[in-house]
Amino acid sequence: MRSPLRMLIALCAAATLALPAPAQGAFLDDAPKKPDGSAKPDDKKPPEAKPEEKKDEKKKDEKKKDEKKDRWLAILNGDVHTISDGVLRGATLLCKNDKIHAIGYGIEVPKEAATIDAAGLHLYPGLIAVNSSQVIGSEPLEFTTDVFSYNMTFALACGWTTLVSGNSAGKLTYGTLDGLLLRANLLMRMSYMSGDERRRMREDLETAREYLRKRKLFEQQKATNPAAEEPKPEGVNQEYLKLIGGDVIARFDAATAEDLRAIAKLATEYGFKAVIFGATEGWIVAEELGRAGISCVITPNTPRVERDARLNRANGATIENAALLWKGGVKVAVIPGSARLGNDGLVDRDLRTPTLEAALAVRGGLPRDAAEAALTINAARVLGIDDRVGSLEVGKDADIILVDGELLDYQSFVYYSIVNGRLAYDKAKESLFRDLRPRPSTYQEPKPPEPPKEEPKPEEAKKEEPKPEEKKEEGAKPEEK
Amino acid sequence: MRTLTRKLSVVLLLALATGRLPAAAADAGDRYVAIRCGKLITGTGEEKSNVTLLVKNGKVELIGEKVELPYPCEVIDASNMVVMPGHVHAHSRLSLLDYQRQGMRADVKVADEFLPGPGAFDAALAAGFTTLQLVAPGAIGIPGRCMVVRTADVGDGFVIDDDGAIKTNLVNPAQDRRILTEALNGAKREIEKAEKARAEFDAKKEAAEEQKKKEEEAKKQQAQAPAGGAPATPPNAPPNAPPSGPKAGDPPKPDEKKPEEKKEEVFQPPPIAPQLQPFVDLVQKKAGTSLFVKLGGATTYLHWLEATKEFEVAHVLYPEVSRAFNWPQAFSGVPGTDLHWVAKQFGEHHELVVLAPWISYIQGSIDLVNVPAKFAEAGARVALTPSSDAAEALAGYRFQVAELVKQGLKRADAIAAMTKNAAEAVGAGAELGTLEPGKRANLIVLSADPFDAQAALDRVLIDGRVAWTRTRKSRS
Repeated sequence: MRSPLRMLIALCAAATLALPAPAQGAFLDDAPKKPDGSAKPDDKKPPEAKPEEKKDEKKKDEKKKDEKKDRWLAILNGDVHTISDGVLRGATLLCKNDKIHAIGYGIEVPKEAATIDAAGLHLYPGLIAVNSSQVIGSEPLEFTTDVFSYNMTFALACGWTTLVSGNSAGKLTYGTLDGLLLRANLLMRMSYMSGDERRRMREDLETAREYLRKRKLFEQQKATNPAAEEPKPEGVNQEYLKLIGGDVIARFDAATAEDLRAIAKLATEYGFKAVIFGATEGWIVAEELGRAGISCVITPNTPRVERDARLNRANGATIENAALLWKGGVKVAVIPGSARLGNDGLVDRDLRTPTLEAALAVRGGLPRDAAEAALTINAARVLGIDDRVGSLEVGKDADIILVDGELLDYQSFVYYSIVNGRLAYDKAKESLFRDLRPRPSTYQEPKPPEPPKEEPKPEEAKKEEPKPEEKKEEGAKPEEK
Repeated sequence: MRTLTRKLSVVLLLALATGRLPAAAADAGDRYVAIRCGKLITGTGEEKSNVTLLVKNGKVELIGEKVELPYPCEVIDASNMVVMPGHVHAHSRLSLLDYQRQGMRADVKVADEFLPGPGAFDAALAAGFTTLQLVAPGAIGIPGRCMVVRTADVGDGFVIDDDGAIKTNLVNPAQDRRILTEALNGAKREIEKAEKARAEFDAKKEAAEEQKKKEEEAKKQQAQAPAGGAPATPPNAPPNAPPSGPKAGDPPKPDEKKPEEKKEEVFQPPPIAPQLQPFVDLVQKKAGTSLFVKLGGATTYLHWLEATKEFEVAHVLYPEVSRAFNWPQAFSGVPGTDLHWVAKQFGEHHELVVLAPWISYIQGSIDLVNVPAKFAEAGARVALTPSSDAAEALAGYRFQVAELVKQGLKRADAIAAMTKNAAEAVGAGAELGTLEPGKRANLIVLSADPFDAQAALDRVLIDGRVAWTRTRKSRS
């Protein structure tokens, strides 16, 4: 049970977040005073609200006006698990185009919005797979992805909305190419295993750091000392410059405690961001990893024996790995053992069972919240895309899954997946799991737009109701002529 | 009332017939064929009973219930049979060698490799096909220009159009879309280059004229003012003028005094690469230039929309349709099992789309979907064409379309898909596809309704001449 105080805080937070479309009552009075000004009182139509929005984002609005109308999607009465700000029970989430526009209570929904009645369902941010194969295309994603593929529907049904393929992150934008590519060139792949590799990498990093130091010195002295020499960039690894500058995240694949410790040491020394895939023995060096600010991508259910039966030795894997890493201050993301979508067996350890994989981490002692984060916000942080996806916050991408229970419950089904504010998967309409625990679809298409008419200001409309009708007739006459 | 109107219409028709014929009959060279049809499917949406179709010199002259026949006139009695326009095969490689061509080769024509052997098109002819579009080979990039041919030489040769649509593949967007975009952008650049050259040419011309005016003024002034240098200029001008004439014809000659000489020169646009020339025509919306686009699955249509967003190009789409045959294919990402999901977009854009007459699986299931029916409902113009050149695909064409009708395709849509739309899909809609006055008399005679399983092909007429008859050539 959450304390009422915490709920209240969450409520207030939601209300402030939801300012653009304020709650009815007390907030209504405040709304027009706000500098945002994009608030819409009850009777105001979107076309009238536009000039006010213009103040904020002139360019964007002008573009949109030229192209087409805004696309709205409202998800009503669901329990919103924001991941970042707690849970809002029975709240409304409003999407505008491909972003989340408002989350909270008493939000006014535009008339032209598509709606989903999510009573009894839980809203979570769409899950993020830090690795995948054969679900979306290989690079370049935007040209090789089949947006009508069976695997894409399947992945959506499993709760994924963002997948990494190669070194690019792509959305599961079923039926459209818009916004398919989230980001390319995510991680910089590095290896720090053998002695030779380590020596060379250290040398290169040292050269890069030395160059940066000299460069900084030169820029300080440039004004005063004309004899200052500009350092030459020859022989300096440009990628390492970016790495030390914090523009890229390094990716290591390592398992043993010794390797992990060495990477942690290197990252601390040169101060770069790093993520380690695998980290089977991470629990041994959890605190060192935590201090180095390293995140880990792990598979909780890793077999404790080497796959090669001839070796017949333990590999240091434990189901407590995730929990111990988390206690050591490491950001933990979870990925199933295989990165593809299989068709055989019920609980094969692949992309079909993300929540079971995270639930196994809970079994090993990881708190439920952290396990949910491991599939969403932490996975986004690992990839450096947490500015777009990973939690339900106003301004982030509208990638949402609607589940009929807690996310990590083995019984839970995904009933709807929303990607970029579009309904990408509706369980009732796909043949995949249609007949298992069926629930009629509550998705309603946006109503067809009303014929354009000049509307009087909201105050006038309240006073004189017949006016719009008269205007309608006036509008109709010239058409007849 | 009814009888009266009917009588009137007969009189009118007679008047029409008699009104036209005397003039025609006067020319002894005219060749008339009259076909008495039990039922005539015109392809325009009409189905008429007991009419006579009169053909003059290979073209439909008139259709009427009572037609006074000219003399001499060949009469074909099909009064217990059904007559409809001949079938059109929009994607054929009959008589051509099978090989692959890649890259951007819009300069290559199928017509250059067209050397049909005897009886090359007999299988198609015996199945009721009168027109074929022979497409360029290869499933990658832009392999060349198609051609449209008759299935039999009845006097005018095989070729209808040797400069047909540009075959374009958009099956694998990663490479095909790049090639298509490069071709379109290349054409755009060429057009801009030509416009720029034109502007420069005009500017030069104006400058030259101004200079000449100035010179003339100067001359006048000199002429007005008595001076010794005045006689020196007139002799100079005439010798300059004669060489300017021939010089306009051959530009390679040294042109030192260009501004003066170019005055009478005609603007010559800069040369365009032969591969790009068809695309330049396409972007400039020249009549007779269009794309015949082979698509993969539904996603490739979205790529098509994006790739041609800023270009309005004439095109016909030929997406891959998968046949419901063995069900595991539904899971293995076969292109075409997802086509019906973009039916709405096809309808919105009013696309002319060529489809194989097949029932498909819905991807990921063993549910069936009638793709042509979905497309027709959505508002796309559907043309149905055999899936391949195999004899069974050709011979089973009407039967497969009948299956679609049985499974929900409207009969009117099916007829239009076999006749009018199919002819438009090969760019021959003005001449073929329907049986109306003025169009070519390419038609088939069937023993029963085309969708009747027992319907047998009786004869095939191409340009009003019998190209095939059942008694003579049928195998059974």
